[in-house]
Amino acid sequence: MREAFIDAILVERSLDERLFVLDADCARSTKTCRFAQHYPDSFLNLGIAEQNLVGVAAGMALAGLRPVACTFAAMLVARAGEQILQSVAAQELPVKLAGHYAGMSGAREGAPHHSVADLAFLRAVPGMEVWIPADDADVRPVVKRLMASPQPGYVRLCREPVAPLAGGTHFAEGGLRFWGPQEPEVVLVAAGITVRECLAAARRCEERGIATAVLAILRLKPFPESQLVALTNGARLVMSVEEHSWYGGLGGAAAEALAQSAGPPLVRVGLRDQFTETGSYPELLDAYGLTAPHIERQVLEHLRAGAVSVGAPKPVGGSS
Amino acid sequence: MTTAADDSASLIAQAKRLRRAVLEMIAAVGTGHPGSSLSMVEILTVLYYAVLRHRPGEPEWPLRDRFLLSKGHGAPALYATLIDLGVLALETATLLRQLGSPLQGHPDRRFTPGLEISAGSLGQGLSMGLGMALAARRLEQTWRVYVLLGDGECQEGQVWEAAMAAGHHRLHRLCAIVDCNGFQHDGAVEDILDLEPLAAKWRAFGWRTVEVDGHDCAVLARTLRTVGEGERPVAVLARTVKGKGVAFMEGRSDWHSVADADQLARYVEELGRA
Repeated sequence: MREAFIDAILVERSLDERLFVLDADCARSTKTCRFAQHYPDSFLNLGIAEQNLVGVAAGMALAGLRPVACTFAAMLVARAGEQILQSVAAQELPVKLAGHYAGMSGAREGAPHHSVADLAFLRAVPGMEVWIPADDADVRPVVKRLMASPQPGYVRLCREPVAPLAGGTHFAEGGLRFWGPQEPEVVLVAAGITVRECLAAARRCEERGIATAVLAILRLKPFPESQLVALTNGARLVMSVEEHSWYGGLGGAAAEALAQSAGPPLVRVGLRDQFTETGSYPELLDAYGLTAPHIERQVLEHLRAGAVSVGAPKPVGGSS
Repeated sequence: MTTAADDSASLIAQAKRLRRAVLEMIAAVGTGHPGSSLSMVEILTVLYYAVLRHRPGEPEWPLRDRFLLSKGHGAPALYATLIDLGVLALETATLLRQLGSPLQGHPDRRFTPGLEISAGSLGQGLSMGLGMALAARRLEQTWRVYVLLGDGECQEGQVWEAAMAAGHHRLHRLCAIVDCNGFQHDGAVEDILDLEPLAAKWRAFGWRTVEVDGHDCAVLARTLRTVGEGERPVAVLARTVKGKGVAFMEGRSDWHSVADADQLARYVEELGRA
């Protein structure tokens, strides 16, 4: 998604000369170096100093620029969390944060470079908008909405390109994308790379005669609560699948929404309160139970169990 | 045109008025940071009445010089200044730290006109000032940015991230003023986490660094007016006295906050009778 993101930012910069890209010594990884070649006057590499990166972005926004702060999601959100909260959000500034190598997509770099708690924190930051493109084709419209908003915002980007996923209907101001039958038996709620995996899992379920829909959450915050409730109404099972701690992220948001409805039970699939490890990206997604076969198996098990227990899926993969 | 001497005399008188307004503001509610506010009175007076290019009637004037209070606990001194300038209404002076008041416990742009930044969590202001200075360069503007930090605040790592970047990029219209009153929340800076040699640190980060008497209006004015000259950002280490002007507060870390509300109230009452 890195190249797709830079493509989108280049378009935005061509439309607004106030746009300014900041990086924290990851420009060759985030590909902001390509932006810098096009617009050297609108780019600055601030070095390995994430707190200052976010503070500078806040100052630039106060002075009328439209800053986009880019670096690895793991360091951007956790290291500069207080600056995001106080310097950006508490001042209601339209600073945009691009979290690269998000989830486990910084795969072989290992756990310190995996960002698996960013969503839990950012969801709790007042006024913060959170976007998670499902594929490279989503990036441009997501960035357009991100930049157009007067709110602070975060976009969560996968290191790897994600080939455009066929179909899917966008709605809710571009914040949702839906695939599936009108009256699904199972609804898989996904974000980012797990959308692709859930679509593959849905196909496998369909082959078994289980009507399965996939709801991609592109905008995690504000969360489309009413749409989620409406789209899952009548299903036997809702399963959230996320490349993030199962606390406070997509599953948390879905649980909060569904807790206020009389809808179907929700099963949350994600990282089980654990740190990750090194591996190839496909290996890691498999090891932590986020690939299509794992998702399919979880759906079958929970449907077979009949009365679905809410909350804890059985341990899968990983080193736990 | 006033002479330098007239200028200095009027600044001294203004600082005296401001100091009293700060004490009255805090005494009225019995909460706030008197020691930290009093040490910065001359710095604010000189900035707002002799250095900054600004329009009190138009706080958002785009070409203004920016003043950022990074040591947000010094808010009463800034509020008193903004009241004196007419940016804030006089009636607000009794509302420090009250629910719904424009005089929030620490400066908050959502509630108060005339503030360049919200502050309160220490160490974040210099980065924002740096961002403003970089924006000025990008926008080809010549306004200057002054950031006031506490000496204890310089224990925050983010301060040095920003200092390093400002020195590297030679942002000569950026000025960091450090209110070196020697005390922080829990005691003397030198006892808790010594910063000296502080001037050498700022110089090592590429700043033109000047040490001045932070209560000498003439020296402060002369120094702060030089920001923008030369090629480097300017660090002004203002040697000050915590609680300056009130004998029982001077040099006492327990008056960082209000140590004795009754004592403060009696003192202000006596000032009123004097």
